[in-house]
Amino acid sequence: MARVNFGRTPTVRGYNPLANTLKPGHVIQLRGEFYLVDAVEGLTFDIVCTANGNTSGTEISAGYDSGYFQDADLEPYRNHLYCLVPSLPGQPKFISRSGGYDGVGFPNDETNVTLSAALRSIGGASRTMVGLISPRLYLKHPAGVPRWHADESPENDKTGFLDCTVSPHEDPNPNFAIWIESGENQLPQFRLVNTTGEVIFNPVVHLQGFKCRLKHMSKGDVEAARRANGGKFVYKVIKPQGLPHAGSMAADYDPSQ
Amino acid sequence: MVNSQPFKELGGSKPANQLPSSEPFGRPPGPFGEPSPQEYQPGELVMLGQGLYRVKAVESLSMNFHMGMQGTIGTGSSGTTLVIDIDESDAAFGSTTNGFQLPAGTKIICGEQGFNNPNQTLTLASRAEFGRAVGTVTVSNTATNGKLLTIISADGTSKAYTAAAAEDLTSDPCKFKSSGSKQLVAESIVNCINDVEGGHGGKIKAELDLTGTDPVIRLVQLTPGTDGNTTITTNEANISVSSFTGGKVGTINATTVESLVRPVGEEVTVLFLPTATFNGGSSYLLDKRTFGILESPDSRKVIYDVTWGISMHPKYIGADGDSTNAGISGFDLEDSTTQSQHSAAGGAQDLIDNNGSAFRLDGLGAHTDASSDTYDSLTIGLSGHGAGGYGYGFGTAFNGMTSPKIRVFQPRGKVRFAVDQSSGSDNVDKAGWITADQTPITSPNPAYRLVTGSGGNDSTLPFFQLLQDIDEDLRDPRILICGFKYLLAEVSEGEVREMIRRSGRFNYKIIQDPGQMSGLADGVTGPTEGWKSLVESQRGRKMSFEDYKRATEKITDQSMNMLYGTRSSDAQRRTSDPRRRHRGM
Repeated sequence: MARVNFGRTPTVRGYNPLANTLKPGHVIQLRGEFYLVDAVEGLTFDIVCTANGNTSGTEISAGYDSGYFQDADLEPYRNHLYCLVPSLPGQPKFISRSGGYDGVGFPNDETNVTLSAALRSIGGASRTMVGLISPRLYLKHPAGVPRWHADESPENDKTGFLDCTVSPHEDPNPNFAIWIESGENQLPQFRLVNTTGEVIFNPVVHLQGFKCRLKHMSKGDVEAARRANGGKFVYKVIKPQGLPHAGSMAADYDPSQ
Repeated sequence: MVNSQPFKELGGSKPANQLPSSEPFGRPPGPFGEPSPQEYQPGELVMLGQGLYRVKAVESLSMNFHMGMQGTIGTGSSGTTLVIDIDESDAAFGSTTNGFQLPAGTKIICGEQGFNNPNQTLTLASRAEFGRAVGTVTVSNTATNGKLLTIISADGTSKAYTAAAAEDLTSDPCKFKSSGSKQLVAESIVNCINDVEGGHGGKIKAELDLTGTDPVIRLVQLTPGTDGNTTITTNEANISVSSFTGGKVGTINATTVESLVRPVGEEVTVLFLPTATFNGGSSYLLDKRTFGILESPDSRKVIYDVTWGISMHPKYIGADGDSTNAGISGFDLEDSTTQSQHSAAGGAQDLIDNNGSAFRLDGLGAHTDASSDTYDSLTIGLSGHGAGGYGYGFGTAFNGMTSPKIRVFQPRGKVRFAVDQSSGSDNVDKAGWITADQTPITSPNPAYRLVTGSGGNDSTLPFFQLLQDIDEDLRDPRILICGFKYLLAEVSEGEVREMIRRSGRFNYKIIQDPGQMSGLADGVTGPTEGWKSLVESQRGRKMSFEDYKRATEKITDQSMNMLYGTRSSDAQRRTSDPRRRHRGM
């Protein structure tokens, strides 16, 4: 099914910092265990929000709220780990030739203009593109735990979401990367909300990053690696779930341990 | 220079007329992205699946691969007449209900891409049709009332359009205006043919060309196939006709600027893809294709480590606000809402023409009938660009840069850059499809790097597949590949011992076998390569518990080397003889 695709801005793409986050041969510590990074590969995945509220085609109307949903295809194999950065495609936003900008969509500039005075210059009067807009993307990860928000206001209008300003699809913001492990409760749950006042024609969540295969290192493997490296053992610590959420802090309980 | 014994061919370069055209739209403004770093330096040690190597030399390289439709030069091609039989297997290219149009200026590469094969690049002199028959009607003067123009559509519907004092679109068949000027007569004929009720609307598309001395109406049968090769007849002396020809499913009939020098039957790549929505909303999936020059024929260990980017295509929103297939076509020879001014070579230069009609406005806004003028006009003001309208380059109607989707199979048959659950899927959103959003031609993304020549088997040559599922036609979809080639030399056991003796340790980097990320499955106890391969490789040999354990580790050969100082126990396959590929076998 073909979709309207407005493309990317013609500006430069920055160097992708995820390319060097993990490399084959790196050792990571994950949930207290050591793993050797066996292989790494880039990864791309799109989630198209086509259910609940579509009018025709794939667009979503103003005020659309997908509710939280998950995609089971995002579950990696047991020995794999995903690192994905969500981002949102931008849709052009116009100010119409009459100066309006609230929900003007893509105005038809071929319609007649009625002048209120006899002599007015209207040559080439047309809409002006002024920016890019997108729906908001909220995340719960692992299942049921809101992310990206200030501690005291999860899922608020002020906090806890991405849009194409924070993470545009042509230059995803790696600060909002999510690590996905095997297991259904590790699947990210997304919610797409259209607060732009416009119909959004390409309601897609881009996920891009990398996947890596991990080899669990036994104590013997760790010792052998330490010996081979002159007594040193270098590793990175991966915390796949960010900070403990507010409820668990109150209970003095850290689910990542 | 790779080293003192270069393999690189130093043959003569191709003449300019054999080289494919440059990027049709140039590169978007803005600086180039951060260059992909050179991962390995001369003198460094690298670990491959086959063992430890030292980098002897390194050199950068870049390549362009054109990803358009593949076909062959068809029978009947000669001079500037070109017939192309499209060889793509997607059902959309064999449709008997939908065809598409290729714009004038479309480039066609004759000959295989890569190597030093002779090529020729052709340019379409005028628009061409895929599968659909084309006829013409030329109006040289006004007509006589009662004269007939008879046209038959592919479904056999015959209509005789009658010349009359005034245009009548309510009758069936419609009647066209006979007087005023030849341009007005032609415009009225177009209106009649395109009328859905009294004409052939929906079956035949009539396009008006006012650029010549006499207006020419180009008629296109909208249903592909030989049924569209019908006759056009008239008894009006001032109207000349050319019956429909060229209708054949899967075939492009075109006229080229250059004369064809390549033989019938040779491979061609058409640097154009139609919009996906044109064909009833379906998309176009091109066949997988590879390019042999992505692997070095050098018999020594040479690997290519490259990043790749996808070409981009400007996206417009039409003047009428339509965001679907606004296209990039300009003043289109059709009767669209355009204004034009006569050029110096034409008639009165102080007149403005509306909609290509014969009636114009002079400098004071007065209506003037200047039907005797010729129509070599220039667009002004709201210049035609995009649907029905205009576009100011990077101004109001321009939105962004779109691209086709590309996915990579490496090794052959295995989709890369896909989630585990979808690696064998054709899902257009999930199965490893990559666009210029992720890796644009202006800044290839190192996250999607490709390595060839590093594997322990014969199948590291990547295959690319293109999916056109956006609502814009694409000009010259291509892949830019930039990166490095490395010459490696195996490090002997003795050299390793010497390094350890002298410094106690040695450092190395890892060059990943491209097939070993997506190639290994999620089995818990099964062998890495599957039971069949393991049993075959172990036939006639005893297998220890240690052998079994390592065979089921499901890790790459490099990790095996790092952890156990040896590679996996499966028998090493023989690498291909590079001379075979070099010789085209």
